[in-house]
Formats: sequence, structure tokens, C-alpha cells
Amino acid sequence: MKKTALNEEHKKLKAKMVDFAGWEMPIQYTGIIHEHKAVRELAGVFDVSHMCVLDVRGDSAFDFLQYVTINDVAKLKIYGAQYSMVLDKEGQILDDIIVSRMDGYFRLVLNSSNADKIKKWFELMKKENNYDITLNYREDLSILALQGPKSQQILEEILGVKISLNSFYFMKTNWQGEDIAVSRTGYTGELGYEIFISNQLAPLLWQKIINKGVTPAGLGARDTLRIEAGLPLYGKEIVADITAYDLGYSWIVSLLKGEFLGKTKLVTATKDKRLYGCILEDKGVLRDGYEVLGHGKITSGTFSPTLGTAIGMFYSEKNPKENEGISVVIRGKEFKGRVINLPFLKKKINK
Amino acid sequence: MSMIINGLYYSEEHEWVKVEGNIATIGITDYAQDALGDIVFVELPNVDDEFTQMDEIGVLESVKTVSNIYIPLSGRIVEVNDAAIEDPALINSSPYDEGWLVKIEMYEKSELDDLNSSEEYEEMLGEEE
Repeated sequence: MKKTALNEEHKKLKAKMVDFAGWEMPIQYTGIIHEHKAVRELAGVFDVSHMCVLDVRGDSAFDFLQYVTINDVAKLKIYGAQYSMVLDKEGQILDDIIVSRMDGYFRLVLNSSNADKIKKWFELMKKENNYDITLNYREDLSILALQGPKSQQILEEILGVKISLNSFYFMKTNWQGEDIAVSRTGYTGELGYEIFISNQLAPLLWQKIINKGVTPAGLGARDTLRIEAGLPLYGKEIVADITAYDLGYSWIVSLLKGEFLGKTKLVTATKDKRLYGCILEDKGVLRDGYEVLGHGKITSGTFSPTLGTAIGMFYSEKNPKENEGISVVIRGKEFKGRVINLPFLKKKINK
Repeated sequence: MSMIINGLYYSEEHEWVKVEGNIATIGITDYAQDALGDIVFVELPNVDDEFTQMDEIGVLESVKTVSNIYIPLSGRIVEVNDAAIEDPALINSSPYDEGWLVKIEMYEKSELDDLNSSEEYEEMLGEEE
């Protein structure tokens, strides 16, 4: 199994480690509920170094990204980031990604589970179209995600700089003699930052954050937090044959930017399917694959530590209204629930 | 290291059994609660339900997973732990005491021979860890 630069730190904290897409990663330290609440109420820190960082440089970098992603890279201001997707020629989703415009190059963050597939795909597309680009996979970098209402204050104290970033913007700063990149991004629905730092310095930054009283949080809490925030995950909500429209993400589709891979599928998409939330009213827990009668299957189900009830997401073509009653089949029995327009937590974060 | 209590019987499915006369109290072990993580929902049978050894009698759901409860002995349910149904976190915080699950009237005391002693269970965990 591959190990991140923070592997020893997790073991020192007695984390339970699991195999996640070939990486040995912490699923939890003290407990998912405790870690989840720390992120909602104060701050938590995640090691997300398993995510794949790809720097794209060269004269055709812009044209290449316009062609292989569905969002409009021209909309990116310097140090801006955007959510996007990579589709194949038939419009099947290969990955959902973040594209950022750095000073003179672009930085992509890919799902670790899709990294090998995307590497091959990008090489193929580069060759097919003779793009003048270099693809540099940054295995020398770690990513720490500091998330929660106290994250800004804590990060400012550690880095010794003022951080005033809008959502989906980056800054570069010097720390311990090294240039590091900080972006206001995350996967929790909270105010939060992702810090791109060398593998050598990552453990020191991690320790400084932990010493501030920040709760280390694992993949378990990362999943419950993103489900509460209604954020889709590749392999669960994002499967090959859905479209960005099904997620309600028409804003990431740029049909006006010219030709790009998968455009035909998006132009002809029917748009009658949509992702919804389900809150279970009976006592129980929702799990992936449970049937929502008359609609579809739960794509991600869990127990919401914030709401104290079971929650899940599902696709429906029936256009259900918020709070409409639905039934979910759990172990052969029908459980009562109701429809929620995502996200589950309608929390406002000041921009 | 998981806590193991001397004098109890242990099943391969990580349940413990405490015998008092003809009554057996059943719960899950410290190892099992730790492996499950935060338990948020528990489904238990009704009083007077009758079961045969290894029948499925209920379900434990933690945040991340679901686990069936198999009864390690045949018998009739005489009491269920309503406090654990109300507050499943008791099973995490006190698996051998406040977090017990059911009490049964045993039908076949000889079935206890199928279970492990605390020493045997400790050995079993040593192999799993």
C-alpha cells in the first residue's frame, strides 16, 4: 500500500488505518461522530494527500484543458479554481476534478481512485491532438485540509499571514522557507482550506495544527460531512452514465466554449433525472443501494451526526417536492422518510 | 488492547455471555464495539421471542457499517435493554455493563460448551489483530 508523508503522524495518534484506493489512510482516530462535530463546531484536519495533484504546463495547456474538461477554463482568474469534470468521447464521466489557474500553469486535483485512468486518458488525448504540454504529477506534495469555523483563525496564527480568500481561490505564501499554496476549498460544507505543501514540511504543519487543539479527522468523518453538505462522490453519485445536470450542476457545463470531449452527450441530455436527499423519519440508518420505492436507489447513505437521523441521497425522475413522503426498503421492511432538496444543512458561510 | 472480562463466555461473533442460574445476559465485546465504531441504532427482539442458537435476533448499526446480532445460545428472551435502544452509545461506552443487549432463559445449557473462555477469546483476538 502507498503511504502519505503523514502516515507516521496518523499512527502516533492511534488512527484506524484502511486501504483506500491503494493508499493506507486513516478512517478514524477517536470516532466519526466526535470528529464530524469538531469540524462543524470548531475545526478538524484531514490528510488528503492521496488525492492526485497534476500540474499542466506548456503553450497548449489552456487549449488542452478546454478540450478535456467541461467547464470553461477561460473563466478562471489567476489563482482561481473551478469544479469540473473529465468526460470520454461518448460523454461518460471519467472523473470529477478541481482545475486551478496558478501563475503560468494550471493545477488539477484528481480523485485518487481515478488517477491511473486519467493519466492514461490525458496521455492519449495529448498524443492524438499533438498538444504542447507537460503533465507533472506532484508526488512530492502533500495536501492537508483544515476545515471548520475556526480554520481561518488557526491557519493565520500558524502561517503568520492574513488570509482573506474568497471561496475557490488560492494564495501562495512562504512558510519555513518554502512556498506553499493555500486554497479556500474543501469537501465538508464548512469554511475551510486545503494546503499544498512539500512532503518534507507536511508533518511539521500537521503537528502545528494538532498542537492548536484541532481534531484530526479521518475518511469516515469526511464522508458523513460531505453527505450532509449534499456533495457528490465519484463511484457513488457520480457514475459513468449520469451528467452534471443530474447533479444540478449546470453551472459547470460550458456549451459555449467550443468543442470539448463529451459535448454531444451534454447537448442532447434529457435533464429529467435529479439528485435528492432523503431524511429517514423512522429509526434506522440508510445505506448505499437501499431502494427508495418508486424512485431509485440510495447512492450514499449514513447517519447524520448533526441532525441525529439517517440521511441519504438518491436520483429520481419523478420530480418529488421537498418534504414529500417516501418509503425506503431496509432489510425487507418499509421505513418512512421524506424528500429534502440538497444540501441537508442549509448553512451560510460568509464569502 | 481490547478489554476482556474473566468469567464470561465468548462467541466467535464477538458476543459475551454472562450466566446466572438459568438466565444468560448477552452483549457484544469491547473488541466488537471498537471495530464497529459509533453505534447509532440497535434493533432487538421482543420479550418472549424464542430462538435457536445462531439465529439472527437483531441488528447493530454504526455510522459506517451494519452488523447482525446472532444469538450464541438457544432460549426465550426475558428482557431487552431498552436503555441501549434509547441510547446506543451505551454499547460503545460500556459494552460489558450498561450496554448489554438481551437476557434469555437458556434452553440447552450444554450449548455453553460451544463458547470460548476469556483465555480462549483473548487468544482468538491475538490471532485477529
